[in-house]
Amino acid sequence: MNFNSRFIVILMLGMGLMLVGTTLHARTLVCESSDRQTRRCPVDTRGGVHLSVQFSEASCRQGSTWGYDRRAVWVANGCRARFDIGASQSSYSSNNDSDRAALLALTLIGAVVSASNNDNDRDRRGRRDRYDYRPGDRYQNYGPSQRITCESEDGRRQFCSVNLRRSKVDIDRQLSNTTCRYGDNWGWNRRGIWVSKGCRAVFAVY
Amino acid sequence: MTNFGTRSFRGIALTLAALAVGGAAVAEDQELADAAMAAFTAADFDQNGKVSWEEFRNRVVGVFGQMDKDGDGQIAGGELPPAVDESGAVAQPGTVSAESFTASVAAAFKASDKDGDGELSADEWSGH
Repeated sequence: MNFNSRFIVILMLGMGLMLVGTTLHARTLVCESSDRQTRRCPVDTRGGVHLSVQFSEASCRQGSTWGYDRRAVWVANGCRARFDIGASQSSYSSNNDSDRAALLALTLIGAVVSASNNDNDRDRRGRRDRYDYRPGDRYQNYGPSQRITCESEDGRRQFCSVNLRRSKVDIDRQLSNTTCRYGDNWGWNRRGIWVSKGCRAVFAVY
Repeated sequence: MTNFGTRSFRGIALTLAALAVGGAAVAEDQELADAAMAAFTAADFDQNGKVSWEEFRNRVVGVFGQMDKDGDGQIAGGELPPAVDESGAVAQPGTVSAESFTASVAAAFKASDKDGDGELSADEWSGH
């Protein structure tokens, strides 16, 4: 083997290693469900899929509003998120805004922790003198305008009438052991929410 | 600096209570305990008695998504409420990205998950 041949072999080996490295490296994709449509984002998922960052106010629940098969990641009912494709998982923490992010995280966690008792929380809020991000007023504005329980009994389809113009619907709590999967056994339109195949849930209307 | 990794977490509810009113005595506040348990029940999407990371993320990050009016993946300017940290200092204005926010929320969740099973029990939630 002359010099040129050895060079080519080494070059090919190097390129091969680079390809292997690329294959093993986690890829990411952002997949977004516009409005309430189910969207498929084609990608080879044989290395696994992990939701790394959720961007949407709409919930992203695996098996319900997001999932994947061998050829694609799918999202539904407004779920928008970044997904790691492959074995390893990415870390997206940034030093530039980590303190602000931590503060906001504490605030919103606090709002969630006390959100179910708003009247009492209002009384307590006046005593917050050390840590005061004042999320409460804003947070309460973000809560659902109403909650509706809609249940499929004995697998039958049920339609729960409610005016949903300019509204969004998400599952607040699942009551059934059956997973409520958007588009399969529950959905909604301007006139109301439908459930079928044993899906029972409390729905939040925003 | 708020460091979830080194802070001694006694549970998400109690940690926030201490930050909110500045006293461990709040831990005994029945009103708060009731609110925390009601919130725990509300966050337990599938009602299995534990709050998973997915359930927690959807509750907390969902609010972030609502605050992010323009949907650019970060909260900035008028989207971000004014903040005062534990020492009383006004937090510097700026943006918070969904990535950093998620990392902070995940760190808080992990710090409260004492047994490391990936879910928060009612005790881990309330700090008992």
